[in-house]
Amino acid sequence: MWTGIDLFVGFIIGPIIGHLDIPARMAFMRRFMPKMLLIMPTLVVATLTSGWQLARRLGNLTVPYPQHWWIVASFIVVGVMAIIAYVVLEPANISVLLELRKPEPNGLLIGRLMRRFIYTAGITGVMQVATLIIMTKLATW
Amino acid sequence: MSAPAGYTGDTTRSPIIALAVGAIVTAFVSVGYIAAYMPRNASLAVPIALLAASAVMSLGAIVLLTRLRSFAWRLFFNVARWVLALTFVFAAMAEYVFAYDNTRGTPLVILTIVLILAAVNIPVVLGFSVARHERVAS
Repeated sequence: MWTGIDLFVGFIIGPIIGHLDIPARMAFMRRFMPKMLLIMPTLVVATLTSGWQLARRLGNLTVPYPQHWWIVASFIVVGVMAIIAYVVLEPANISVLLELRKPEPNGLLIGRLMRRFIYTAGITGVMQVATLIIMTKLATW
Repeated sequence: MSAPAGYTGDTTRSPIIALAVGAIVTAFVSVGYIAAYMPRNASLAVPIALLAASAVMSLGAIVLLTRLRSFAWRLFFNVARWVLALTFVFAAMAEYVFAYDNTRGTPLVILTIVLILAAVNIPVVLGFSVARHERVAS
Protein backbone atom coordinates (compact mmCIF):
# COMPACT_ATOMS: atom_id res chain seq x y z
CA MET A 1 0.00 0.00 0.00
CA TRP A 2 2.88 2.35 0.86
CA THR A 3 4.53 1.89 -2.53
CA GLY A 4 1.16 1.88 -4.29
CA ILE A 5 0.06 5.18 -2.76
CA ASP A 6 3.47 6.75 -3.49
CA LEU A 7 3.31 5.71 -7.14
CA PHE A 8 -0.38 6.68 -7.47
CA VAL A 9 0.24 10.14 -6.04
CA GLY A 10 3.46 10.61 -8.01
CA PHE A 11 2.24 9.45 -11.41
CA ILE A 12 -1.56 10.06 -11.30
CA ILE A 13 -2.44 12.75 -8.74
CA GLY A 14 0.73 14.83 -9.24
CA PRO A 15 0.33 15.42 -12.99
CA ILE A 16 -3.40 16.16 -12.54
CA ILE A 17 -2.60 18.79 -9.90
CA GLY A 18 0.04 20.22 -12.19
CA HIS A 19 -2.61 20.93 -14.83
CA LEU A 20 -5.05 22.67 -12.43
CA ASP A 21 -5.11 26.44 -12.04
CA ILE A 22 -3.65 27.88 -8.82
CA PRO A 23 -6.93 28.36 -6.82
CA ALA A 24 -8.11 24.84 -7.71
CA ARG A 25 -4.69 23.44 -6.82
CA MET A 26 -4.77 25.18 -3.43
CA ALA A 27 -8.33 24.00 -2.74
CA PHE A 28 -7.35 20.42 -3.57
CA MET A 29 -4.16 20.52 -1.47
CA ARG A 30 -6.04 22.03 1.50
CA ARG A 31 -8.25 18.93 1.63
CA PHE A 32 -5.74 16.35 0.42
CA MET A 33 -2.74 17.05 2.64
CA PRO A 34 -4.36 16.65 6.10
CA LYS A 35 -5.52 13.18 5.10
CA MET A 36 -2.09 12.25 3.77
CA LEU A 37 -0.48 13.54 6.97
CA LEU A 38 -2.58 11.08 8.95
CA ILE A 39 -2.47 8.12 6.56
CA MET A 40 1.19 8.00 5.53
CA PRO A 41 3.03 7.91 8.90
CA THR A 42 0.54 5.31 10.19
CA LEU A 43 0.95 3.24 7.04
CA VAL A 44 4.75 3.48 7.22
CA VAL A 45 4.92 2.25 10.83
CA ALA A 46 2.37 -0.53 10.18
CA THR A 47 4.40 -1.62 7.14
CA LEU A 48 7.71 -1.62 9.04
CA THR A 49 6.43 -3.53 12.07
CA SER A 50 4.48 -6.09 10.04
CA GLY A 51 7.44 -6.47 7.64
CA TRP A 52 9.78 -7.14 10.56
CA GLN A 53 7.39 -9.77 11.94
CA LEU A 54 6.96 -11.40 8.53
CA ALA A 55 10.74 -11.53 7.99
CA ARG A 56 11.21 -13.05 11.45
CA ARG A 57 8.55 -15.73 10.85
CA LEU A 58 9.92 -16.59 7.41
CA GLY A 59 13.45 -16.81 8.82
CA ASN A 60 14.80 -14.08 6.53
CA LEU A 61 16.51 -12.27 9.42
CA THR A 62 18.71 -15.25 10.23
CA VAL A 63 19.98 -16.15 6.75
CA PRO A 64 23.80 -16.26 6.50
CA TYR A 65 25.99 -13.90 4.49
CA PRO A 66 26.21 -13.18 1.56
CA GLN A 67 22.38 -13.44 1.36
CA HIS A 68 22.14 -11.42 4.56
CA TRP A 69 23.47 -8.40 2.59
CA TRP A 70 20.00 -8.20 1.01
CA ILE A 71 18.50 -7.83 4.48
CA VAL A 72 21.08 -5.15 5.34
CA ALA A 73 20.23 -3.40 2.05
CA SER A 74 16.55 -3.41 3.05
CA PHE A 75 17.48 -1.74 6.39
CA ILE A 76 19.41 0.95 4.50
CA VAL A 77 16.52 1.56 2.07
CA VAL A 78 14.01 1.82 4.91
CA GLY A 79 16.33 4.13 6.85
CA VAL A 80 16.86 6.49 3.91
CA MET A 81 13.11 6.59 3.17
CA ALA A 82 12.27 7.26 6.83
CA ILE A 83 14.84 10.07 7.05
CA ILE A 84 13.53 11.70 3.85
CA ALA A 85 9.94 11.38 5.09
CA TYR A 86 10.56 12.88 8.53
CA VAL A 87 13.21 15.47 7.63
CA VAL A 88 12.06 16.76 4.24
CA LEU A 89 8.56 15.67 3.27
CA GLU A 90 6.61 15.92 6.53
CA PRO A 91 7.93 19.40 7.53
CA ALA A 92 7.24 20.70 4.02
CA ASN A 93 3.75 19.15 4.10
CA ILE A 94 2.89 20.79 7.41
CA SER A 95 4.39 24.15 6.40
CA VAL A 96 2.42 24.21 3.14
CA LEU A 97 -0.76 23.18 4.93
CA LEU A 98 -0.39 25.92 7.55
CA GLU A 99 0.42 28.47 4.85
CA LEU A 100 -2.66 27.48 2.85
CA ARG A 101 -4.87 28.06 5.89
CA LYS A 102 -3.84 31.72 6.08
CA PRO A 103 -6.09 34.41 4.55
CA GLU A 104 -3.28 35.37 2.16
CA PRO A 105 -1.00 32.36 1.56
CA ASN A 106 2.58 33.13 0.57
CA GLY A 107 2.82 31.66 -2.92
CA LEU A 108 6.60 32.06 -3.06
CA LEU A 109 7.11 30.10 0.15
CA ILE A 110 4.67 27.39 -0.97
CA GLY A 111 6.42 27.13 -4.34
CA ARG A 112 9.81 26.86 -2.70
CA LEU A 113 8.64 24.15 -0.29
CA MET A 114 6.89 22.20 -3.04
CA ARG A 115 10.13 22.15 -5.04
CA ARG A 116 11.59 19.99 -2.27
CA PHE A 117 9.13 17.30 -3.29
CA ILE A 118 10.60 17.33 -6.78
CA TYR A 119 14.17 17.16 -5.45
CA THR A 120 13.38 14.22 -3.18
CA ALA A 121 11.08 12.48 -5.69
CA GLY A 122 14.09 11.10 -7.55
CA ILE A 123 15.63 9.62 -4.38
CA THR A 124 12.29 8.22 -3.26
CA GLY A 125 11.74 6.73 -6.72
CA VAL A 126 15.12 4.98 -6.60
CA MET A 127 14.31 3.65 -3.12
CA GLN A 128 10.93 2.33 -4.34
CA VAL A 129 12.62 0.49 -7.19
CA ALA A 130 15.24 -0.87 -4.74
CA THR A 131 12.40 -2.06 -2.46
CA LEU A 132 10.77 -3.95 -5.32
CA ILE A 133 14.12 -5.56 -6.29
CA ILE A 134 14.85 -6.63 -2.68
CA MET A 135 11.30 -7.98 -2.17
CA THR A 136 11.56 -9.98 -5.41
CA LYS A 137 14.97 -11.36 -4.39
CA LEU A 138 13.74 -12.37 -0.91
CA ALA A 139 10.65 -14.05 -2.36
CA THR A 140 12.60 -16.11 -4.89
CA TRP A 141 15.77 -17.36 -3.16
CA MET B 1 1.39 37.02 11.28
CA SER B 2 1.28 37.32 7.52
CA ALA B 3 4.60 37.38 5.74
CA PRO B 4 5.46 40.31 3.51
CA ALA B 5 5.53 39.79 -0.24
CA GLY B 6 8.80 38.29 -1.46
CA TYR B 7 9.54 36.37 1.72
CA THR B 8 10.37 32.78 0.80
CA GLY B 9 10.90 31.38 4.28
CA ASP B 10 14.04 30.61 6.25
CA THR B 11 15.85 27.95 4.24
CA THR B 12 19.36 28.60 5.53
CA ARG B 13 21.38 25.66 6.83
CA SER B 14 20.68 25.30 10.51
CA PRO B 15 22.92 23.55 13.08
CA ILE B 16 19.74 22.57 14.95
CA ILE B 17 18.51 20.54 11.98
CA ALA B 18 22.00 19.12 11.38
CA LEU B 19 22.33 17.97 14.99
CA ALA B 20 18.78 16.56 15.27
CA VAL B 21 19.04 14.72 11.95
CA GLY B 22 22.53 13.50 12.88
CA ALA B 23 21.10 12.17 16.15
CA ILE B 24 18.31 10.28 14.33
CA VAL B 25 20.72 8.85 11.75
CA THR B 26 23.28 7.64 14.33
CA ALA B 27 20.49 6.09 16.43
CA PHE B 28 19.13 4.23 13.38
CA VAL B 29 22.64 3.09 12.39
CA SER B 30 23.18 1.63 15.88
CA VAL B 31 20.07 -0.57 15.43
CA GLY B 32 21.11 -1.45 11.88
CA TYR B 33 24.52 -2.54 13.21
CA ILE B 34 22.91 -4.97 15.67
CA ALA B 35 20.41 -6.25 13.06
CA ALA B 36 23.19 -6.80 10.50
CA TYR B 37 24.80 -9.38 12.83
CA MET B 38 21.62 -11.44 13.37
CA PRO B 39 21.35 -14.27 14.31
CA ARG B 40 24.79 -13.83 15.95
CA ASN B 41 25.23 -11.39 18.82
CA ALA B 42 26.95 -8.20 17.75
CA SER B 43 29.55 -6.43 19.86
CA LEU B 44 27.68 -3.73 21.78
CA ALA B 45 30.61 -1.29 21.90
CA VAL B 46 29.82 0.28 18.50
CA PRO B 47 26.05 0.68 19.10
CA ILE B 48 26.68 2.17 22.56
CA ALA B 49 29.23 4.64 21.13
CA LEU B 50 26.76 5.61 18.40
CA LEU B 51 23.99 6.08 20.97
CA ALA B 52 26.25 8.27 23.09
CA ALA B 53 27.00 10.42 20.02
CA SER B 54 23.30 10.55 19.25
CA ALA B 55 22.46 11.65 22.80
CA VAL B 56 25.12 14.40 22.68
CA MET B 57 23.78 15.67 19.35
CA SER B 58 20.20 15.60 20.69
CA LEU B 59 21.29 17.63 23.69
CA GLY B 60 23.13 20.07 21.43
CA ALA B 61 20.06 20.54 19.24
CA ILE B 62 17.84 21.22 22.27
CA VAL B 63 20.35 23.65 23.80
CA LEU B 64 20.66 25.59 20.51
CA LEU B 65 16.87 25.59 20.21
CA THR B 66 16.37 27.06 23.68
CA ARG B 67 18.83 29.86 22.85
CA LEU B 68 16.71 31.13 19.96
CA ARG B 69 15.19 34.51 20.67
CA SER B 70 13.21 35.65 17.64
CA PHE B 71 11.32 32.43 16.98
CA ALA B 72 7.70 31.34 16.57
CA TRP B 73 7.58 29.29 19.76
CA ARG B 74 3.80 28.96 19.75
CA LEU B 75 3.78 27.43 16.29
CA PHE B 76 6.74 25.23 17.24
CA PHE B 77 4.91 23.77 20.25
CA ASN B 78 1.66 23.46 18.28
CA VAL B 79 3.41 21.22 15.77
CA ALA B 80 5.89 19.49 18.09
CA ARG B 81 3.37 18.36 20.72
CA TRP B 82 1.19 16.51 18.18
CA VAL B 83 4.22 14.99 16.48
CA LEU B 84 5.53 13.99 19.92
CA ALA B 85 2.22 12.23 20.68
CA LEU B 86 2.37 10.46 17.31
CA THR B 87 5.99 9.36 17.64
CA PHE B 88 5.41 8.05 21.17
CA VAL B 89 2.50 5.92 19.90
CA PHE B 90 4.75 4.59 17.11
CA ALA B 91 7.61 4.02 19.58
CA ALA B 92 5.24 2.09 21.86
CA MET B 93 4.18 -0.07 18.91
CA ALA B 94 7.82 -0.79 18.03
CA GLU B 95 8.65 -1.55 21.67
CA TYR B 96 5.76 -4.02 21.76
CA VAL B 97 7.11 -5.72 18.61
CA PHE B 98 10.59 -6.05 20.15
CA ALA B 99 9.16 -7.43 23.40
CA TYR B 100 6.93 -9.82 21.43
CA ASP B 101 10.07 -11.02 19.62
CA ASN B 102 11.57 -11.96 23.00
CA THR B 103 14.24 -9.26 22.77
CA ARG B 104 15.63 -8.97 26.29
CA GLY B 105 18.54 -7.52 28.24
CA THR B 106 21.04 -5.04 26.77
CA PRO B 107 19.70 -5.20 23.17
CA LEU B 108 16.24 -4.24 24.44
CA VAL B 109 17.73 -1.35 26.43
CA ILE B 110 19.59 -0.14 23.31
CA LEU B 111 16.48 -0.40 21.15
CA THR B 112 14.44 1.46 23.78
CA ILE B 113 17.01 4.28 23.90
CA VAL B 114 16.95 4.47 20.09
CA LEU B 115 13.16 4.81 20.13
CA ILE B 116 13.31 7.51 22.81
CA LEU B 117 15.97 9.45 20.87
CA ALA B 118 13.89 9.21 17.69
CA ALA B 119 10.71 10.19 19.54
CA VAL B 120 12.44 13.29 20.94
CA ASN B 121 14.33 14.40 17.82
CA ILE B 122 11.57 13.94 15.23
CA PRO B 123 9.26 16.52 16.92
CA VAL B 124 12.24 18.90 17.19
CA VAL B 125 12.98 18.55 13.46
CA LEU B 126 9.35 18.95 12.40
CA GLY B 127 8.49 21.72 14.86
CA PHE B 128 11.60 23.74 14.05
CA SER B 129 11.32 23.17 10.28
CA VAL B 130 7.77 24.52 10.29
CA ALA B 131 8.19 27.36 12.81
CA ARG B 132 11.40 28.76 11.28
CA HIS B 133 9.45 30.00 8.24
CA GLU B 134 7.19 32.14 10.42
CA ARG B 135 8.36 35.71 10.87
CA VAL B 136 8.07 37.11 14.37
CA ALA B 137 8.79 40.58 15.71
CA SER B 138 12.23 40.80 17.34
